[in-house]
Amino acid sequence: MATPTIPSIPVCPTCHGPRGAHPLFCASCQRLFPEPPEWTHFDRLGTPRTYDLDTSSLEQQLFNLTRRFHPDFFAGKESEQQQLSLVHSASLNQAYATLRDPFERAEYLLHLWGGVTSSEDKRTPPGFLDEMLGLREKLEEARVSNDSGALAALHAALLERQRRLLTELGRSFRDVEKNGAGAGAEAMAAIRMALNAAKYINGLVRDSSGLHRPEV
Amino acid sequence: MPYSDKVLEHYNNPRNLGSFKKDESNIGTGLTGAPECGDVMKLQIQVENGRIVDAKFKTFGCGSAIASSSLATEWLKGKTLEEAETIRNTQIAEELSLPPVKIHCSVLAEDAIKLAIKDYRERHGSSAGSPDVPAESTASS
Repeated sequence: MATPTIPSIPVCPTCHGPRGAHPLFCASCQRLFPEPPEWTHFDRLGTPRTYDLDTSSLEQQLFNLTRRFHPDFFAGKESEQQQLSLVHSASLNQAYATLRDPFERAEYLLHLWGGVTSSEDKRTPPGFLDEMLGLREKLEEARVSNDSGALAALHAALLERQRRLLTELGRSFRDVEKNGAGAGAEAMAAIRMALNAAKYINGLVRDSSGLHRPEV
Repeated sequence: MPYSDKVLEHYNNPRNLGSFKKDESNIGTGLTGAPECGDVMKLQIQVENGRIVDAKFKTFGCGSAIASSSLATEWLKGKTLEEAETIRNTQIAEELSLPPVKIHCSVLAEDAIKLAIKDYRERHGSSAGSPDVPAESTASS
């Protein structure tokens, strides 16, 4: 009969108590440790590396860890610990800002898969730039003639377009993730193109939102 | 970083603003954009006997993108297609004193010039000599 191996309980190098499962702090003495190499935003928020995320649990994690890393708790500690609390807090905020936003999250995942940026591959779907030019002209026209009805309609149509893009993006990511870890070059190029289109649409949504006031 | 005087000058007094009818046979249209900033640039050339007699642009973007395309239309007028092809974004960036973060605006203008020439040649396949195959090879949607 094989002797059962005793799972090794990580021990804190400082207090020698059990440090718990989290790589960045000791659960016994609260001491902070540096991030492991290749630690990602997903690791920072303790969430699986996938496009479909539960954003409410993301927020919960943010709150828990923000308290855990808060520089106020480390003000009296040695400077290395103070520094780590600052670095971890900043990285945590960056992780949350990135993963909370579905477009930023998509960009980040694509980056982790080794995909290219929008300046390296600017392609958009056929006919898309023509459509954008047309929408920009419409927006300009409505703004010049102060046509708040046209602006509101344009803004609503753009929001709908943005929603459709997000649905498509979610589907593309699910397809890629279902077919194994590595994304194929073709699938990544398709996602790149959808994200490029999203950048134009998001800009238009932004530019059309500040220009009209809802009637009161 | 403030815009250079030349950028401001083009921004406030854009040259050759407007459009030609894009389906007329002596017109070439170049449409390009930068996803990072959402800029869209349309540049059109009117060609007679291999020479650009007029050029127009319409750009939705920052001051540098507007100035780059405005300057490009000025430079294009009177040039042969071959001469026009030699315009480089570095020349535009230099003329407008664009800061490094705005160099991509001048790249847009160079791309738009090339696309406009390509578009003209494609509709005028016979005169250019090279039987260009339309090659807007983007992945099918």
